[in-house]
Amino acid sequence: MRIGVYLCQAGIGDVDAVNLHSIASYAANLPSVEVVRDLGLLPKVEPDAFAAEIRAESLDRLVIAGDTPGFFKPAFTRAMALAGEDPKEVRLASFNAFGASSGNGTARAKSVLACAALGVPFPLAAVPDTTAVRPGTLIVGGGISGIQAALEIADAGKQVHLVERTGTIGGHMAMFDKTFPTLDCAACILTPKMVSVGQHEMIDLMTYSEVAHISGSPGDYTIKVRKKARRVDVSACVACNVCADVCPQRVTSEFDNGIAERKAAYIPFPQAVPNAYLIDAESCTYVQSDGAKCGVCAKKCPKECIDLDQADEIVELEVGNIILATGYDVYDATKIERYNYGTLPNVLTALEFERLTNASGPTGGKIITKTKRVSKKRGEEWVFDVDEGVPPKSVAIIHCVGSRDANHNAYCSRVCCMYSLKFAHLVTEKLPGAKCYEFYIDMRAFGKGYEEFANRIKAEGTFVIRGRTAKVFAQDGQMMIRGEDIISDRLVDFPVDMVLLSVGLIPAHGSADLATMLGLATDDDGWFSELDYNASPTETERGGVFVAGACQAPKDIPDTVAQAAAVAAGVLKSIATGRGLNSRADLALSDIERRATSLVRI
Amino acid sequence: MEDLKIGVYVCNCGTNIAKVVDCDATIESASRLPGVAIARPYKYMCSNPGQEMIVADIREHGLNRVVVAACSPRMHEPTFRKALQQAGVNPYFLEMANIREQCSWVHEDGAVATEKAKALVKAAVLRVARHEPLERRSVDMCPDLLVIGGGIAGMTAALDLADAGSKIYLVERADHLGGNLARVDLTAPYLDSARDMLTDRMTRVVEHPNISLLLNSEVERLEGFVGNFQATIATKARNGNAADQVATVDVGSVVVCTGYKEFDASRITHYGYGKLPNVITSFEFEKMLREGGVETKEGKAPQYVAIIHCVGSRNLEFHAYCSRVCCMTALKYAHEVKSAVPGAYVSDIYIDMHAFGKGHEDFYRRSSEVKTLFLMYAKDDYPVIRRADAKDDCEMLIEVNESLSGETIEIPADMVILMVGMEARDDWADVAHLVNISGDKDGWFIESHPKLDPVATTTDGIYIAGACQAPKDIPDSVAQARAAAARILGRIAKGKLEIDAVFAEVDEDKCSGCRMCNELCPYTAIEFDAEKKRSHIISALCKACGACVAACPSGAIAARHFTDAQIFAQIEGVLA
Amino acid sequence: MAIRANPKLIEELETYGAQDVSKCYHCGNCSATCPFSQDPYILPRRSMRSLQMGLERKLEGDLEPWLCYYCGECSQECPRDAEPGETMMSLRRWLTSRYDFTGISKLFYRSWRIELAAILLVAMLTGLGFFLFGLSQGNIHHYDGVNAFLPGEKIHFFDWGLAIVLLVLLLTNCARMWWFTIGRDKSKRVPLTAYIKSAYLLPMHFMTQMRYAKCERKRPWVIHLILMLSYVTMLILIMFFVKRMAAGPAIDWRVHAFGLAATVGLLGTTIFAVRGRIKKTENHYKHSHETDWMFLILLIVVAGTGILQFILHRSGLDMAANITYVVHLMSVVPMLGLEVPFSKWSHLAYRPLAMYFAEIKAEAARAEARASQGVRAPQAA
Repeated sequence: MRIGVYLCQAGIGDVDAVNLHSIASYAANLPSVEVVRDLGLLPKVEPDAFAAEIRAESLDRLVIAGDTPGFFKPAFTRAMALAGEDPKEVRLASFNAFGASSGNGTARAKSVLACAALGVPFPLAAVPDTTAVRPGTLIVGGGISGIQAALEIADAGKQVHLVERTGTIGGHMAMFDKTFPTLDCAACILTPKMVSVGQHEMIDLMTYSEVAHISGSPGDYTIKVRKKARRVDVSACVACNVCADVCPQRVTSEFDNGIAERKAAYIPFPQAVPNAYLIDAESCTYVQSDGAKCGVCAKKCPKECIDLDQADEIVELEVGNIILATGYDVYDATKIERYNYGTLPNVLTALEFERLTNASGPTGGKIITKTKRVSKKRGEEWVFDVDEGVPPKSVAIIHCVGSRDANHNAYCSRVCCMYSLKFAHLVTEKLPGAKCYEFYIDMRAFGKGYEEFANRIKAEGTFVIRGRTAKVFAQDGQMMIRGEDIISDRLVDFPVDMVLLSVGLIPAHGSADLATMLGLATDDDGWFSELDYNASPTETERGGVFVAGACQAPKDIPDTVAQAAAVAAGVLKSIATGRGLNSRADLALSDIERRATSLVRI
Repeated sequence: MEDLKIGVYVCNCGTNIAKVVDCDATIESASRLPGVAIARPYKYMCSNPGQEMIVADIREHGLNRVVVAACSPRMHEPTFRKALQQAGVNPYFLEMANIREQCSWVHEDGAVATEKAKALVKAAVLRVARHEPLERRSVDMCPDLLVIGGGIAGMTAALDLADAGSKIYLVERADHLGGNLARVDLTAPYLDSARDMLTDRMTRVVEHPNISLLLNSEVERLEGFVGNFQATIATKARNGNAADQVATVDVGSVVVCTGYKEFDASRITHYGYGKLPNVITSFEFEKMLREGGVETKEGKAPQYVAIIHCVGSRNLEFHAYCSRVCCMTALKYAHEVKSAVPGAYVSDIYIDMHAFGKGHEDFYRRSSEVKTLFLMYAKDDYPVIRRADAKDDCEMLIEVNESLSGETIEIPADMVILMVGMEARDDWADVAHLVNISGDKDGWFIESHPKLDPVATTTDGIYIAGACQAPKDIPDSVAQARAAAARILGRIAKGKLEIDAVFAEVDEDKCSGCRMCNELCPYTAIEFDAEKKRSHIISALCKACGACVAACPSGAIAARHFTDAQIFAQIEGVLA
Repeated sequence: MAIRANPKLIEELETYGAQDVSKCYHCGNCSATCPFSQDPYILPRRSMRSLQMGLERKLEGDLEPWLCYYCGECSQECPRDAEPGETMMSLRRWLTSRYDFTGISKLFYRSWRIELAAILLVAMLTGLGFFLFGLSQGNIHHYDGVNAFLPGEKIHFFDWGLAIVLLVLLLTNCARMWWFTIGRDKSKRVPLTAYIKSAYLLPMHFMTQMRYAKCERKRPWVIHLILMLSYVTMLILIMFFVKRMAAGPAIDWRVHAFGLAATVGLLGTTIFAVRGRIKKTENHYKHSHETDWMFLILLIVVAGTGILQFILHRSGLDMAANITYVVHLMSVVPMLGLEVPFSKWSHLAYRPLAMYFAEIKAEAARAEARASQGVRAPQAA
């Protein structure tokens, strides 16, 4: 066999992460390699010219190596066909796909190339050794993804430690009113799962806790969890609300995304799991005054379960596998000045609207505009007032806020089109006389039943306008919106009462720290990198560490649930056999070479 | 029998129920019904505090029956049964009145809905009084697995379970593994080698000691129930003379991964597929790519290549749904054409660009940067392809009513690639019947819950994965296959399975042995005892559908939890 | 009737500076952001679209590129970095080459080498011509008076000769512009009254560039206005008062004051522009075509040598002043002779014309709509 190796960089990955000279000389020394050419960045590959070279050198296998060599494959395949050689003998050595973009990138690139030259798929050769696995599993994040993974594993009778940063599990899904496209009420399908988690004997639920430190190796991780002082005894609290009633401190509610207030003593929402209150130290008068003032909740608590002096506690866990299910945050809409979010009162983000339209939200699900309120203490502010607020006569929904935009996030957030359509449905359903406008670029209704849902929303009378809104502004006290209606070939410039910004998703804050703790790669946008986009979407380079749900990339609920369950398969498999895989990152070049060679002999 | 103490709980379901049905009036009317000891509303009965309310009331007031007026029992019957069990009451002493789907969601007139809700609650109260305590039983769970379909989803599910120690029977109709993915050259959006990915999986499958690979095979029959299925598999003989082999294997679960087939492009006459030689489907183009033969039928390098999206998808005439993968595949072709034929001009005729996954938008941007001309058409306003005139520098012309410019545009083309959508396989109904699951109007298999349970089906022990559930790309198929594996692993780990206590029983004294019920049973749960000349129901198979109960001329069959007395009481309640 | 797309046009436009058009995915953000975008002239997205699809004939007839002043808001807000502002700039270059019937403009825009060679050639010929002319009839040591090396009245004669040639070229091109944008489209008849009614727009836009002031930031407009007014002042001085400017020894402040002010205006604004283009301070300075540089450098040389010869002459260095004068003419002639009809400077005619034509067309469309009573129903708002 006579092999030609061509180095072609498409300029997608971190091109400088690998030393091409070193790779080229390595390739030249591989058995049967006759030709090695470095064609450089974005080469122009002419099939005819290469066919001539293939003929001249009588090559019968080509290896195209580079960050994304697939970009050049059709040209080389064509060249092989023109030269009369077997076009199947064009092999790809893709550095990006197999993690040769960071750390020991050059060594990894060499091993990928060696496999391609031997005609062996890299994942088949690059199999790390197995290692003993502890039976316990750590799940970071208590959203739907963490809940699903926890239940799958716990239902199999295996121990799960579920660590959640906030006072309750449920994540973003618990905030939603309805879910697309079936319009199931989110709470109806989520709360039973939350209850199951809370009651499950195999799930050690740690809310209001954060992963502080991770050490150890695949199969044998030691985790330090900081249990933040909740200051309320979860087992004794009966959620009677007395502490919140007497608490004098009002702050904006995170769960209601700032459109309502809570007390410093609070429960995130009535169906929270665990169903217990907590004291927010940041705003608690007692804590902030070092015990000098207030303390009324502890005095009034009928169960005497409040300890305002409680301190944080570090808990140590030993687990075999770690599942990252940290989810997402939403893009900060104030960064897009032209929409005037934060300055115009009735410009709302998606999560704010979820709470507004939610039956258990601050307005009881009534869609109303904000009312101006002036008080001595807080000055002028705009609030949702159920008694005085009036329903909007027109609502505009703007897609891709912070997404698909080189100035913000270039990627698509995957869920916004569908949730925006859901909003349109809720608006037209709850406010029959109101007009609803959707401004979109591409209507990405790709899932099961999604396209049908989009058709339905249009049939319900929502004006669906293809065109990104340029700006939202006030004119003579009236909110106006300006955009191009591309299909009708005109500019639109009209008054609206409420604007909903379909903000995109970004990696949850703190996920970068987790990545550092675990030595895990993230992509340019900060999402955790999976082991292999197609073949192993839930595993990572690091043995015993899995990713589930939106922390890997934006994802809707069905896809998140499927992925979370898929993660459970990896975990359960390793627990069932007691053996799991080591990190692929630790594999030595010589190991991969040896294994690839042995696979060829078979 | 002890005195009846019925607790009635009316759920507001946020405002889902309360905005139409007058919950207080419903409670007021329920509290006057015989045997009702307590009647209370709550915002979300299914939530933890809601359930705890029931438990506390049972303990405090000694309730022995519970009626929950809320949503469909399909949604939350298990939730509330668990609550009863927790409080020490037999879980079958629960009845649900569906005042959401049957009242608040279907009626606009609050008064009418409230009257109906009252009637349903009354029916539930009268019925629950006649409930009997039932016990669930447990059966063994066979760890072995049948996987139908050897595509990427099937191989993934098989490998995960085989690694965990189960014996897998992987049945594939074709003579090779890989399914539709074996016809693909590169995967989007990173242009990785599909062949390497499959070779990796296939090598593992073939070499795995726990996987029994059955090529050229089909499942002929599946009998039994969850944890205890018997599958009959027929394997075609390699040469014509030998007889087909038929084997029966015991498995505990079945994963259906039968995938999809591509839409027949000749059904859209505007595109001239089959008549114009250089109008080809995406799979035909994949073949060209694999063989290095990106050229027209005349053997020339095409100067103009056009790609048409949504062929068979997203329209009124054929399929309303989106096929999910074609957009990215089309973008992939845009790159591949430019690579194989440098200097070619690619136009991409689309409706909406579905570049939703990780790395997809970036891939779309790169496709624009290599000067792909994107043209947008409106749904159901198909482009039309015709032969070009002799003076033109191209072979065909495509007329598009282009939405982004509002103009009618003619695009030159020497080759047209039709992005054919995904369709359910022709024999989907047979497969569904074989494993006793159902398909939707498009023939995609229906999952147990579209959001929270995308891999299970309405038949316990039968799972679906990959594109047979709905169009899906590779990572999503892989995730779903592994999700199915997780579910099965969880059950295997427990070893035993609980079976519902609700099933039909034959009173042997009344049975005349007419065998009318035998043929009727959709779950083949009734067998005939030739010796006794009586029919007998295998309780683990019975789904309590009631078909046999209604059909039995001798009135010999009764369904537990659906006795005549219970149903008559319910009817009485509704009518009263 | 379907319009034939030409996927190759986008490649042609690359040479005019439009590198990023294909990135546009038509979100419509730019058109709605643009302060000039107003029904029926929605820009720049429509032009981007026509360009992507290669609708040459449609593009030739478009006035939109001239309605854009390149404030750069669109490019700044563009989610795909498709540079719509630069595309409009490139389209203006392309349109200039289309209006020019000689084909010279096209040569210049597609190859900066040819343009540079042409400028140098014309400069050399001019220099040689004037030098020989000066020697043949005057004394290089005399700037003015009877033996003047380059006497004002004779130069004046030359000026007018050049002016007439340029005017003919420019007017022909303007006529072609009219033909492409109005005349050729037989479906829409523009009544003569519309031409007359809006005629005032032409001088108004020319002199005030008021449309430019619509940009959110006013500075680019001010700079451009100063440059333009300085240039026009200079032109008038040269065409009508060159004799007085060259006459000495007394300073005639009635003309020299204007001359000095215009020189300061020209030098100040061009140096500002050069600095801006180097440092990329403004959106419209981010991308510089070779022709932009040549234009600016010519302007600086013209203004610099102009003021220098004045200073030298006043300092009594007549020979140096004469040589500088020749150099001045070596830059003036190619600047006027090449830039005005064939390159960047032609926009001094096309822009106000475009405003005028745009109004006429819109007026005609409105009249037609009134006539047919076709009131467009509100669709989305």
